Amino acid sequence: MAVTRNREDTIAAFEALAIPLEKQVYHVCLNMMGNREDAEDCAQETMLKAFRGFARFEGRSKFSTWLYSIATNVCLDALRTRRDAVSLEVLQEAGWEVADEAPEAYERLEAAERRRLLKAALKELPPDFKAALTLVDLQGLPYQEAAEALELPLGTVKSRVSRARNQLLVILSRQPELFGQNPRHNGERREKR
Amino acid sequence: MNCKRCESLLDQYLDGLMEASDKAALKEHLHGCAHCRLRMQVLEDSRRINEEDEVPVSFSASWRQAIQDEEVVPMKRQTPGWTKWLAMAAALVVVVAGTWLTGNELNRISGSPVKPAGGMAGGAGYYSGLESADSAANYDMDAPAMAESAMTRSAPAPQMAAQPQETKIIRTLSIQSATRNFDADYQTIRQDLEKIGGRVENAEVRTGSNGLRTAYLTLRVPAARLDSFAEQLKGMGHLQSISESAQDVSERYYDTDARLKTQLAKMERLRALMEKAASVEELISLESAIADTQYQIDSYTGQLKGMDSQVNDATLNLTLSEMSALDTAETKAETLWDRIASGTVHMWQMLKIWAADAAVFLAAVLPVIILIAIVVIIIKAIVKRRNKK
Repeated sequence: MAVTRNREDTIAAFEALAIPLEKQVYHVCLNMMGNREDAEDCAQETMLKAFRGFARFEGRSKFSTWLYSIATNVCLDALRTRRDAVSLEVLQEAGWEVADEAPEAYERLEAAERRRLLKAALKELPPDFKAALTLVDLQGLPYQEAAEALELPLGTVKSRVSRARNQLLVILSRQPELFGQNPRHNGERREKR
Repeated sequence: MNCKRCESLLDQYLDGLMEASDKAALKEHLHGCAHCRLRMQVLEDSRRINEEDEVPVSFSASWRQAIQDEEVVPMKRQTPGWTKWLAMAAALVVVVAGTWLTGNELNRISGSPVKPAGGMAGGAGYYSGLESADSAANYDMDAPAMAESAMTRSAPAPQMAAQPQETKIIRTLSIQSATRNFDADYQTIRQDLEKIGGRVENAEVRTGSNGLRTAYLTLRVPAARLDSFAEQLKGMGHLQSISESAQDVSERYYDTDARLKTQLAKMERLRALMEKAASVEELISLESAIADTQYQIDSYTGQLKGMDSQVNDATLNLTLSEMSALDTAETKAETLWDRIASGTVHMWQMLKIWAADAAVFLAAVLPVIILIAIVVIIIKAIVKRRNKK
């Protein structure tokens, strides 16, 4: 990390690195928290923490990995301590609920519809699995980088991603509207497993 | 191709890293296997899950503002790893040597009635040892800080609150001291404490079975004045022991601070939403969210205040025991003449005590002696009369 001498330099250096990543940070928080309000809180906390720790950032890992690491930790903390309060989700996130309209098979649903189902399913994953899946499958990080961000051994991340994927499939398959009416899918799945 | 093999190839397929032959086999499997098709579809969707999720403008604006509001401490030069270890090793050596010297000093005090001249050197070594340990424990990240004086290390209270990156340390000092001028020293301590803006949190004076008093004081001393105040106490009476602990609460402090800021920002957003609320349901939900946020804000504010108070005012546990006039442990270096005079006085005092003790003993046994004497006299008289016959 380049040594900068004054306030403006520090802010400028941080912004130069962080602004291109703010979208990713927000998306990580959104996928982890499951609603925009909490996501914004966590993303904000991530940026502030990153800025405060910026002086200690030694460049051992990529800046993005470091930022992802802070973001996932902030979200995991928030998920652990989240109180069961009335969330703004009620007001603002109605569109996130699984739609009630007549379903089709997941594959044939419109992409936007599938994403909504996927987001709903994500909420059911345990936080640790969700963190691994968020970084690898949703953010597209290589396993190695995700392992660095999560400060976990590579094997652990791989196994968590794999188990999270399987759980997602189970949750999505459970949607009776999608799969209950299609015996071909159910039958084939059991047979192949 | 089976499902397991297919699963392991999906990542490569989606990343476009797959061999043509594998690709054909995979496609064939996917065509016939609904489960794997679903798996691939989910993976593809996962990559695009946030396609429609725009970054809220409020987030982009508020974090930029938040870092502008932060007071930036210029980036510190990173101390190389080995320097830290060297500093810690040096501190350890000083602590061990200082403790050893003091141990000797304390042994000398308890072992001989008159403390040899130069004994304070051990005490001074012990004290400086403590300070080095403190520096190493808390400032090892920041080598230049170790060179700073004790006074400048602990910044005064109002400044601490204004410098977010400052190390937050809760210091606790314990001092045991003995004095012959108990009343005078006790008063002086309280007056001096008041002068430097400290306060007595708890004070208890007990009188022991020997008639000597001991004061147990818990004092809150402004952190910036702790070292100078401790020096002052050291010069008063006879220092028996001193220990210090320093708890670094920086991480907890700044985490709490960050959470508080987040909650404050959330509160602003909630209030803005409140103004736009259209239905009763919305109003009720928002009221509840605001109450919840306010609770968090109050809780974090309370925690910060508590930590601030402990950081700004160090705790000093002082035990001040009264020494009897006979106790010759001295706080100052003595000349040979002083020692002879002191020894003579001591001898006379011992003699007086012995004489007094002897007098008490005699008084106690006198009736018995008289009784025995009477019996002896009577027996002797009887024996004499018989002999005469």
